[in-house]
Amino acid sequence: MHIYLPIAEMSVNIFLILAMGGGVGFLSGLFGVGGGFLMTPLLIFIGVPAPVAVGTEANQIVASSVSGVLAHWRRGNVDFKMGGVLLMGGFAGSSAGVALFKYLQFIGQIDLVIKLCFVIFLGIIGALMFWESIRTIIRSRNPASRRSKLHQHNWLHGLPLKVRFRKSKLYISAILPFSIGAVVGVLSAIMGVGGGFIMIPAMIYLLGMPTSIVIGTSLFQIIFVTANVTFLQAVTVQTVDILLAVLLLAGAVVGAQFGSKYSVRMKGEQLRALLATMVLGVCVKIVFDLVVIPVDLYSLTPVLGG
Amino acid sequence: MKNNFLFLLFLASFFVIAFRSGASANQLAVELSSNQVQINTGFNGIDLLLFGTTNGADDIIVVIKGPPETNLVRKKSRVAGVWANTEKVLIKNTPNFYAVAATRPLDQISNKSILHAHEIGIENLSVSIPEEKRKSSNTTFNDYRQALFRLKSRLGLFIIQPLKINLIQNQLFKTEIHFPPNMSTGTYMAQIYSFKKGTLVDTINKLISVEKVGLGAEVFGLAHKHSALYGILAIFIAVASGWIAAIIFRKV
Repeated sequence: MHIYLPIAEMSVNIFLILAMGGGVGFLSGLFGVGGGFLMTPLLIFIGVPAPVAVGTEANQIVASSVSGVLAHWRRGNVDFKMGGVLLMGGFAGSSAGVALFKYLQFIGQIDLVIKLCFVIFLGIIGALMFWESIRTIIRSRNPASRRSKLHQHNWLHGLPLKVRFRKSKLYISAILPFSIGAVVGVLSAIMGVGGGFIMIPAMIYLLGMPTSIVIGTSLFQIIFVTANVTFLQAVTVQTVDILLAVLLLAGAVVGAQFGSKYSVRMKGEQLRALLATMVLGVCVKIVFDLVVIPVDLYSLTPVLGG
Repeated sequence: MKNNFLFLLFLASFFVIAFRSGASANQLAVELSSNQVQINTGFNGIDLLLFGTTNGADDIIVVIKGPPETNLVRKKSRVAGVWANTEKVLIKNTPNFYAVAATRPLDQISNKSILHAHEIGIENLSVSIPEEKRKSSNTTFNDYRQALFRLKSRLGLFIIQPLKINLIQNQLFKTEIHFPPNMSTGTYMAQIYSFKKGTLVDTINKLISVEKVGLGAEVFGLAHKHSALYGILAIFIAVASGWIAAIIFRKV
């Protein structure tokens, strides 16, 4: 059964989209990630124009983050103050990101930049996670090894504008979370991802937040940043396909429930090793596409109002 | 049901022509199975049947052109190991859709100058490429032109090989044209030419209007005319469905 997507201006199999939503939703429930880093490349692979994939995926992440944050909120695992500072940075970053997106689209380099961003960030995060989980697995077999400190103090803690974040048990400069929010905001706008896969490691390793409130706080700020990206993409380039977003969402909601039930049965470090393998897999696939001789050296962009 | 009706129409027009006495020679009469295409939510492309009668023509050619559009054709080359867009050419006034149907191979029907003058056949399609954008590269504009045709044909929007027209007893003809789901909206034109011994004897034009209707049309209209409202609506739908999903699955 086919459905015509009004913004992507293409006809797609409704079950394919539901299955993609379900599959990525399952993985996001399993690993506790947003799944944007998988969904955006997948949408591009099935022929959705890259700008529509990015704009629509941002819209879908709004929904999955809302549904995800409620559970964390009920358990009191959201630091709203920290989230607020992060999302102020996120607003600034994502607004700049959408403007940059429009410019890159104009000069014809947006596809390349989207792919390069995926390669760089998926490569770094995947490698770090892989290394970390392997080390944990090895260490768990050898319990005599030493443990590291909770968090270290370095030059980052000497910055001005210090604010007390009671929930996170931190007294640090607001510049730090603001900058992290801004950087992730830019990436969110360009890559069509929530940015949790960058935000969460940054919160743990750079800010030193307790792991229990990291996911809830990250989801909280992702809602607003992706909502901002959705709005700005809708206004500047009209690339948000509501119909596509709703279909992906329907699949993802169901998939995520199964995923989170399944995740209980697996060990944390095994999950992380699996996620790292997948992240690296997507990364290698994109590198391959960038390096191998393309099917056609030429590409076509219709010019509106031409 | 619909096909039966078309067949009756087809027969009726045949009899009208067959028993018409003293009609002017080679006059064309053409009808389309539909001259209005509506792109709704379930749209997955459409086949249009074009049929007509002629009075003793040897050959029929049908050219279908979509509304004009401008395309930016970019060429990739290797930059620091990866393939990046490095050159571009703006090609104006190309039809969004182009298909030709003919009773025989085009070069057997008429001579080159006639075909060229009427833009019959993909190689005779005039596309305007700005001269001033000529670069030092060895890529010729013909390469860009060929790339445009190739890419459009891959999208199903340019039919490079002429489609077949059946001409029965030099009087009745019909052909079927497939339009892909990614066809654009606007006014399409079907130009029908009849030839006798290589000379163009008659021509007729038919218009086909293509428009979006239903939910898809409203979504598209809202996104382009009231984009701020559309953006807010998109966020609202996402927040509401995320919230509802959380409530449903909390109770399960």
